[in-house]
Amino acid sequence: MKEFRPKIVGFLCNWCTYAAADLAGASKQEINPSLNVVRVMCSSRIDQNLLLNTYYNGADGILVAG
Amino acid sequence: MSEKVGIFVCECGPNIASKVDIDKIKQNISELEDFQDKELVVKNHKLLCSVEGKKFLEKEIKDNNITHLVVAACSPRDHDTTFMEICKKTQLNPFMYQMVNIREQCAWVTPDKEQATKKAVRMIHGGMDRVLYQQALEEKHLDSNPDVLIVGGGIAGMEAALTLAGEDRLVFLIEKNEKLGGKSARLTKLLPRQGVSLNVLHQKISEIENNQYIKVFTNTELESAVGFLGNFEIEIKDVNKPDKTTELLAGAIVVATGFELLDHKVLDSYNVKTDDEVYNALEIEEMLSTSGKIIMQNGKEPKKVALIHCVGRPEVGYCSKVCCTYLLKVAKLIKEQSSQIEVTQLYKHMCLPHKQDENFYDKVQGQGIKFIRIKDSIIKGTKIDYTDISDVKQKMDVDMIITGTAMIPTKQTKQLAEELNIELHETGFYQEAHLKIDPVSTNTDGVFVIGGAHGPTGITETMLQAQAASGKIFTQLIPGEKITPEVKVSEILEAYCTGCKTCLDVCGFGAIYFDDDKGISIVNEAICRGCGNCVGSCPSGSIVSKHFTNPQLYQEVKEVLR
Ligand SMILES: Cc1cc2nc3c(=O)[nH]c(=O)nc-3n(C[C@H](O)[C@H](O)[C@H](O)COP(=O)(O)OP(=O)(O)OC[C@H]3O[C@@H](n4cnc5c(N)ncnc54)[C@H](O)[C@@H]3O)c2cc1C
Ligand code: SF4
Ligand code: SF4
Ligand code: SF4
Repeated sequence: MKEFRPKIVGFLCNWCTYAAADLAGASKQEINPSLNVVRVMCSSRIDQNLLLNTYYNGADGILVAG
Repeated sequence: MSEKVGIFVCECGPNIASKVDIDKIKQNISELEDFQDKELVVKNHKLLCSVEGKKFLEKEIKDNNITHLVVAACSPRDHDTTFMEICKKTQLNPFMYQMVNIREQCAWVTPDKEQATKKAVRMIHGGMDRVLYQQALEEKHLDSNPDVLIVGGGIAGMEAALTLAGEDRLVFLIEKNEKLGGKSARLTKLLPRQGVSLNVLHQKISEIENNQYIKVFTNTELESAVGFLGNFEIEIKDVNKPDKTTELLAGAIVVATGFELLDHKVLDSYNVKTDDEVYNALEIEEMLSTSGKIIMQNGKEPKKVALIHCVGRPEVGYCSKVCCTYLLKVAKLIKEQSSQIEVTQLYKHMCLPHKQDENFYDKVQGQGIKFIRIKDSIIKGTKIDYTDISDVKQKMDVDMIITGTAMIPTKQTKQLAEELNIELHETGFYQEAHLKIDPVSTNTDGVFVIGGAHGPTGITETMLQAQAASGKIFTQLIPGEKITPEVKVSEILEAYCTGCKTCLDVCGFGAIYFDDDKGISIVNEAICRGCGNCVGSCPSGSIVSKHFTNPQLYQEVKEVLR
């Protein structure tokens, strides 16, 4: 059986969590490639349409961080 | 015009090149099925942000007539503006470009080269699909007014006025009292070096009076302020004749309205009448600065004086930072008046935050002043019942009590906060934009808070804040320069808006207003920060967050999930 690799979309705020993810990158922290980051200008931008659309496109999980 | 999508992959020296397979990325993205009918230019470069790299990119955009650009490189937080600036040198609108962060978010965090390469392809694909849905946006350049309104003529407002005013920048300084000076005008000697407060103040006041670029309005308060950084329309009113208003224009507003002292009489533990010999330290400072000594209402000098720290601190829930040191100062001055006076400090905590305070404390201790550490106290007239730190109940009878009461927000704080659309901290003082990284700004661009209005502060800190806010204004409002408001703002589509007003409450920046004639909401683009908070709140889906529209994000999401 194929190993289950969840597809995760992370909506990250440009000013805080996206900057934190950049920092994780700069410190060469390993991050599972299943996480796909989409940058937004504020996590409050994420509404129900975006969430549903993301699941519709095959996401197994969504991270909204801000 | 047919679409011509340029995709430029930066190697970032070995940073990206050693972690992913650049050739494979180029090959894979060239073969993407849904781009078969599009003309693609796919190239890589060693270091796109170098002088040579930038020239290369500029030439490529021009020579190939690129209509949509994707740069796969480092974080947009590092170089988004770098590449937007390159677009501006070409025919390409900078909003027809998208940056894809394959360094921090891919190469550096994915040790497996094959996985990293695949992820980079997904991400770039996301950028390619997104950019096709992007729209050209135009920057606006607005005239901006370098002049500044300062509300409050205490030491904070005066210092900011003197720092800011100059040939190309007028300052309007409004003060609700008939004189400038604020609390400092009532103090005797100033810590730490014990210069006479009034001397310091008189010097500042005369500098202000002699400065032709500072317009002082005493007996004046703010009536209204509307606008945004660079363009505020302001109305001020005469306190004695509220009908008499004056209109002013300014680019920034500095709130320097100071603080008040909590009245100890409102506390349950204080049973004191007005004619009891119980004073707050400010009244004592005033007595000392006008008559040079403390005396009781019967004209006699007190034999026993108690100074009580932290009065109201548990009730307000914060330390007022300066009362410990000014009570030490007052005790020292009383001892200097007469060494016969028995002076006792009843304290709970000893807050000595500045580098010179410890030394001053040692000096005061050497002057025969008694220090008693207490847990609680109840005051009846000038009789004190207190619990010492060994939990023993004690009594003390003195001739005069001096209280170090909590510094609290002024009564008008809330009203002014509403008028200027700035937030309040849970303590009731104005809230700074960010305590550590932006301590004198507020949530509204162009409005700053300094001094006692910001929270309990001594004069040194007040001066620092006044100068910090001035520095911010110097860099944000450069005389003669236009300001460029954010372009990635939200827009309300007139045809869809039902006028329900939901969005008005959602916007934390007060950027949305209601047009009564049209019956719809409108975004003031000069104030909007483009956070997109309002988008999801609109029941009719009529708000579009430019450059972060639903179709654009849908495209990116779809591709990164492949
Ligand atoms: C007893 C005591 C002793 C102190 N001793 C020292 C000391 O020795 N050394 C030291 O460094 N600090 C000392 N301090 C602290 C010092 O007083 C403050 O740091 C300083 O006063 C803060 O200045 P400010 O201009 O922010 O506020 P304020 O002095 O309170 O001035 C605010 C001004 O704004 C005006 N204003 C208020 N609301 C409005 C409005 N809505 N419209 C127009 N104008 C308005 C007020 O009338 C006032 O003139 C002491 C404080 C106290 C209470
Ligand atoms: S400065 Fe001293 S007296 Fe004032 S609240 Fe803080 S600890 Fe209490
Ligand atoms: S929430 Fe939507 S429909 Fe309601 S006023 Fe705002 S823009 Fe109009
Ligand atoms: S995008 Fe943010 S700042 Fe702009 S109107 Fe909407 S909520 Fe307000």
